[in-house]
Amino acid sequence: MIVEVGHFALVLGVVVALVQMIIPLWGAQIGNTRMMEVAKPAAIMQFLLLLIAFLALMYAYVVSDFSVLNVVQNSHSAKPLIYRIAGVWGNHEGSMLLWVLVLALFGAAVAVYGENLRPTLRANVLAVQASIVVAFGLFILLTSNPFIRMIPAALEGRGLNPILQDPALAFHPPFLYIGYVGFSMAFSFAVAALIDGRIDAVWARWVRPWTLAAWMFLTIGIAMGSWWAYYELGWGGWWFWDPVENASFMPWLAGTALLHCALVMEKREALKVWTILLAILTFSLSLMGAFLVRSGVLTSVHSFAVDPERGVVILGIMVLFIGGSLSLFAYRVSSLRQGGLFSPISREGSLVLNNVLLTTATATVLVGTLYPLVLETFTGLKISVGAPYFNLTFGPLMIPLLLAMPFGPLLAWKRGDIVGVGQRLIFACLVFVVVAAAAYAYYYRGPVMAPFGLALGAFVMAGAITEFAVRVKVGRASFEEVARRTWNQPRSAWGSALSHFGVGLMVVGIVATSAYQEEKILVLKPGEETKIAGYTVKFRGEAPRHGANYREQVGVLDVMRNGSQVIRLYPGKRSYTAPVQVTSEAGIYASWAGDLYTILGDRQKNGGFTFRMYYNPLVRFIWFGALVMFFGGAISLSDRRLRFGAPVRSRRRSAQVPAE
Amino acid sequence: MLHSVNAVSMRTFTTFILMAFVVSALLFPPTCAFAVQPDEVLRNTELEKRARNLSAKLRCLVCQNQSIDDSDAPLARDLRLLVRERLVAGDSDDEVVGFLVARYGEFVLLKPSWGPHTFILWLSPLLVLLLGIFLARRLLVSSSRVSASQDGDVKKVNRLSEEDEERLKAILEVSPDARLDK
Amino acid sequence: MILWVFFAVLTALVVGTILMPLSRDRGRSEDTSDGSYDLTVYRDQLSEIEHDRERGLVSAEAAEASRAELAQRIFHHVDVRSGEVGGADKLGQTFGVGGAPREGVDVRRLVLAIGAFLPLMSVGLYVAIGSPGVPGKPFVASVVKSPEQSDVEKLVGQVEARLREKPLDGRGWDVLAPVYARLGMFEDARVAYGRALALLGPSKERLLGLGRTAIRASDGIVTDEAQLAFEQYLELDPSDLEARLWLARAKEQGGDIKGAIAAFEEMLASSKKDAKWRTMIEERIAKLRSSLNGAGVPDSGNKTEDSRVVDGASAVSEMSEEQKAKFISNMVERLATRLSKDGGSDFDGWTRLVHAYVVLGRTEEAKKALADARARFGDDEVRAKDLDALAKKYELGS
Repeated sequence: MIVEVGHFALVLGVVVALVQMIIPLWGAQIGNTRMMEVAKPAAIMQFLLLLIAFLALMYAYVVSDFSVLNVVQNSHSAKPLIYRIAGVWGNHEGSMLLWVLVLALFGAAVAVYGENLRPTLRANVLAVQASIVVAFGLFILLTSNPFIRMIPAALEGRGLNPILQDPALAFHPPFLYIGYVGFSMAFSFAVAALIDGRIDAVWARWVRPWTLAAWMFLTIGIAMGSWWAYYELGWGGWWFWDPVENASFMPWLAGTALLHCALVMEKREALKVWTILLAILTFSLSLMGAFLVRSGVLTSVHSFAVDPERGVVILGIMVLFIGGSLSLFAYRVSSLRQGGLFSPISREGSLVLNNVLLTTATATVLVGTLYPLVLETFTGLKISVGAPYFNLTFGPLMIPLLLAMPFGPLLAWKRGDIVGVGQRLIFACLVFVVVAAAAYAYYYRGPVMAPFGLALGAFVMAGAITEFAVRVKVGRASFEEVARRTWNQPRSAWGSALSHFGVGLMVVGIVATSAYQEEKILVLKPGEETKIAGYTVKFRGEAPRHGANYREQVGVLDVMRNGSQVIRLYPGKRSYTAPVQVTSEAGIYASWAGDLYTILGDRQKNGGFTFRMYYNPLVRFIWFGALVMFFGGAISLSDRRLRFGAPVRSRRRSAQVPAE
Repeated sequence: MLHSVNAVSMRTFTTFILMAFVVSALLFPPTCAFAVQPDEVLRNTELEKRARNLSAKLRCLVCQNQSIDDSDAPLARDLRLLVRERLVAGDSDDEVVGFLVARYGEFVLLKPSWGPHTFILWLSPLLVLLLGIFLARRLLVSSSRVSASQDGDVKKVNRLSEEDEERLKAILEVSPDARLDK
Repeated sequence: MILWVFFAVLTALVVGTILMPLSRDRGRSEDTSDGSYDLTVYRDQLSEIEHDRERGLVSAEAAEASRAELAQRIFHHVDVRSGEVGGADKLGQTFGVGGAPREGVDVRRLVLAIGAFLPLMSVGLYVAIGSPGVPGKPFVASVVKSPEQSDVEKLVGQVEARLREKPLDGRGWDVLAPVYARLGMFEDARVAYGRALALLGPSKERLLGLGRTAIRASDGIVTDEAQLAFEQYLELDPSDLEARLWLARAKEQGGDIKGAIAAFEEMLASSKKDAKWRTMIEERIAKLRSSLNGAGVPDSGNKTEDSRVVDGASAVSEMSEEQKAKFISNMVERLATRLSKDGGSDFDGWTRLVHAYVVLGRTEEAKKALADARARFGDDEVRAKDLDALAKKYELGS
C-alpha cells in the first residue's frame, strides 16, 4: 500500500506543479497578488508530495518489495541495507525521481527563504521552476515510472551492478544532483527576470546564493565520483574525460563562470547580458548532461541506463527549455542597459578574463564530447576523442586562468593598479620560483613542464594567502590591528580566499600525481618483496574473505619503511554473486605525501601473484582541494550579505504571516 | 567424514556439471585479467617506455572509453602485445600507429588526427577563445573611452552633493523599515 | 478502501493549502509594490559600505565613492519607477507588470476551477497508470538459515580473519578447505587445499580434496592440477580406484583414447569380480572402443557417466537428462542463429559457440563454427591467432 501512496503522491505532485506553473505566472502578468501567492504553498506542497513518493520508493527498496518492477530489476535481498537505499538512485527511474525531488527542493527553498524577493519575480521564478518539474514529472510518469508493479511478484531481485556497491559511489549522486539540478534555480531566475523585464544588481544579489549552493554541491559531487573511480576502477586514474564525467564537468565550469560574473553584476551592474545568458547556458548544460547520460547516445563505462526512446523525450524537453529561454533572451536582449563601466585592468576586467577562459574551456569540453557523435551522424566517420585531446586543449587554457587568479581579487573595482598588485604578489612570485626550482632539483628526470605546474599551484595558494594578508594589512599595521581586521573580515572574504586556495591545492595534486607517479608491475611469490618509492612491500601470502554477496581473494602485503612496518594492505579480487562480476579492490596506504596503491592480479603457475603497484605523490590534494573549495563556498554562503538578500525585512514579515 | 561429505555434494553437483558448464560458457565471457601484465613488459626499457606512451593514446575498441593501457579487456591485451611486437620489429611510433589505423580505422586513436574532418574539432577552442577576446575587447575599449566622460544615465561622481544626500535620505525614509545600521 | 480514503485526505489537504492565498481577503495592507523590495536590497548594500568603513576594511574615500555610485543607481531606479526615464520597464508594462494591481480574474471561479482540476486530474492520471489493487510483497527470507549453518559461517569468518593475519599458517587452510567444499564453494576449496598442501605437505585427504574440488571448480574437466594431485595420491595409496578413475578420465579428455582404455582395463583387472561398478566401466570401455573405430571423440561432455561410476547410481532420471540436453541445445542453436544472422561481428560469441559444441561433443559442428569464424576474422591477425589457439586447445585441426 505504501508504494501506491507514493505513486499517487507523485501524480499529485506533478499536477500541483502544473497549477504552480500557471496560476502565479498569470497572476504576475495581470498584477493579481493573491494568484501570485499561490506559488508559495504550492511549491512547499509539491516538495512534500515528491518527498513522500521518494520515501515510498526507498521503503520498497529497504524491505525488498519484489512486487515493484524497479526493485526487482535493481535490487537483491542479500544486499546490505545501505546499498539497498542507494539502489533507489542507482538506476534510471529512481535517479529521475531524485532529479525532480531536488528541483522541488530548490523551489520550496525559494518559497520559504525568498520572502524578501520582489513578489512578481518570486512568482515567476516559482512558475518557471514548476514548469521544469512538470516536464520531468510527466517524463517519469509516462516513460520511466519507478512505481510500475509486477504481477505476480518476483521471488528475488536481479541485483545492482556490483561495481556500484561502494560507499562513495552510493552517495555521490545526491550531491551531484543537488549540484546540477541546483543550477535550475539560476535558470528560473534568469527566465523569470526576462519575463519580468527587470534585470539589475538586485537580481544578481538574489541569484548568487542559489548559484553558490549548487556550485558547492556539484564540486563535492564530482570530487566524490573521481575519488570512487580512483580506488574502485583499479588502475589509479582519477579522471577519464569520459562523456559522463564531462556531462557533470561542463555545468561546473559554466557555473564557476556564472558565480564570478554575477559578482560583477551585483557590485557594478555590468555584464548583465552575459550573466543572464550564462545562467541559461549553465542549466542547459545540466539538461544536456541528463540527456547524454540517460539516452545512452554516448556509450561509456559509467552509462548504466541506456534507452534511446527515453533519450528522444529528454531531447524534446531540452530543446523546449533551451530554445524557449534563448528566444526569450533574444527578444529581451536589446532592452538590457549596460551598467557600470570599467577599465581593462580592474577587478571587473580580471573577472571578464576569468569568464572568457572558463567559457572557452566549457566549449572545448562540449565540442570534444559531442564531436564524434555529430561527425558520425553526418559523415559516418567514426573517431574517438579522448584524454590526449583534452589535455592538449583544455590544459593550456587553465594556465593563464591560474596565473591571473591571484591578481583578480587584489585589483580594485573600476580601475586597478597592476604594478601595485604585482608588488603585493612578490611573496607569491618568490614561492613560485622556489617551488619550481625545488621540484626540478628533486625530480630532475621528470617531465619538463611538471615543476612549472607545481609552482603554478603553489603560486595560486600563495596568492590566496596574500589576498587575505593584504585585506587584514599584515606587515602594515600593528598586531592588534591585524587581529581585529582578521576577526572583522566578512565571511565572503574568507570564503573566496579559501576556495582559491583549494584550487591551488588541487592543481598541485593533479600535477604531482600525473607527472611523478611511480609504477611497478611484477609477480611476487609469498615471502618475496619489492621496493617502490622508499617503501618495501612484502607479499605475505593470500587469504580468503567472504561478504554478504561476494567472495574475495586477498593478497596480504606488509608495507615497511626503514625497517619498521607501516601498514598491512589487503588488495583483492572480489567475485560478486548477484549478478556475477569480478571487481578488483585496491589496497591503498594513504598519506599526505602520497598514496601507495596496490592491485592484486592473477595467480601465476609458479604460485606467485601478479601485482600492480603505484605510488601517487600528493594525490590526496586533489580531493582535499575540492573539499576546501566546498567549505570556502559554505563559509561564503553563511555570510549575512549573501543570505538571500535582506534579513531585517524577512524577519519582520514572517512574524506577520503565521500559519502558512 | 570428509569422504562422505564430499560424496554427497559430489553427486548433486555432477548432475549439474553439464548444464553449468555449457550455460556458463554461453552467458559469461571469459573473466578479465587486468591491464598491462608482467609477461607483456619488454626487456628493453626504452622500447617499453615507447610502448606505454603509445598505448595511452590508443583506444580499447570494446571498452569505448579507456585506453588500451588502462583496459583489462582481452582485446586490449592483444593490441598491447601487437604494439610491442611492432616496436620490437623496429617500427617507428608513427608506423605502429599507422598500422593500427589501417587495420581498425581512426576510431582507435584517442587523439584524432588533423584533417578536414577534424578541423572544427581542433580549431574550435581557438575560435571560441578569439571570439571571447573580441567580445571582451569591445566591452573594454568602449568602457575606457567612455569612462573619462559622462556615463549615460548614471552620473559618475566620487562624492554625493548636498542635494543628492537629501534626496537619498528622502527615498530611504519612504519605507518604514529604513535602517542603515545592521 | 483505506487506500482511497488516504488519497482523499491527502488531496483535500493539498487543495486546501494551495487555495488558501486565493480565498484570503485582500486585507493585506502591506506595501506590495516591487519598489520597496528593491530598496531593501539597496539599503542593505549601503549598510554594507557603512559597515566596511566602520571596521576600516575600506578607506573613507573609497567608501564615499561606492556610496555615491550606489546612490546614483538608486536615483535611476526611482526615476524609472516614477516614469521619468524610459527604460526596461516599458517592456515590463507589456506584460502588465508594475502597474497598479488589477483584479482581472474572478477569483472565486478560479478557486472552484483549481479545486476541481487538482483532484480530477490526479485521480484520473493515477487510475490510468497506478495499480491500487496490487498488494505489496516485501521479501521474506524463504530459507531460514539454521543456527548450525550460521555457526559455520561465523567460524569460517574467524578462520579467514586469522589467515589474513598469518597467510602462511597451513592449519587454517586445512580447516577451511573441507568446510568450503561442504558449503559448495569449490573454487575456494580448491585454493584452500592447494595452500594447505604447499604449506603442510601432502596427505591423502588434501590430495583427494584438491583433486575433487579442482574438477568441480572447472566444471568437470580433470585439470592438470587435479591430475597431478591424483598421481601424487596414488603414490600414497596405489590401489585407490577413484584416483585411477579420474586419471583415466583425464587421458580420455586429453584425447588419449587408447591410454584411457588401457587404464580402465587395468582397473577392471585389479578389482573384485562382483564390484557393482564393473558393468559401468565395461560400458565405458566399449564406448571408447567404438569411438576409436571411426566415430570420433566420445562425448567428453557427458559427466553424468562419471558421476554414475563414482557414486554407483545416477541421481538423475533419464527424463530430466533429456530435458536438460534439449534446453542446452536450444541455447546453442539460438546463439548459432544469432551469429549467422547479424553478420557474425561478435567475436566472443563465435568462440563461445565453438566452446559449447566441443563441450557437447559435437565435434564436426565445432569444426564448422571454427571455419566460419576463420572466414570472418581471418584477416585480423590478432583474432586469427586466437582462433588458432582455440583450435589447438580442442584439437580441432587447423
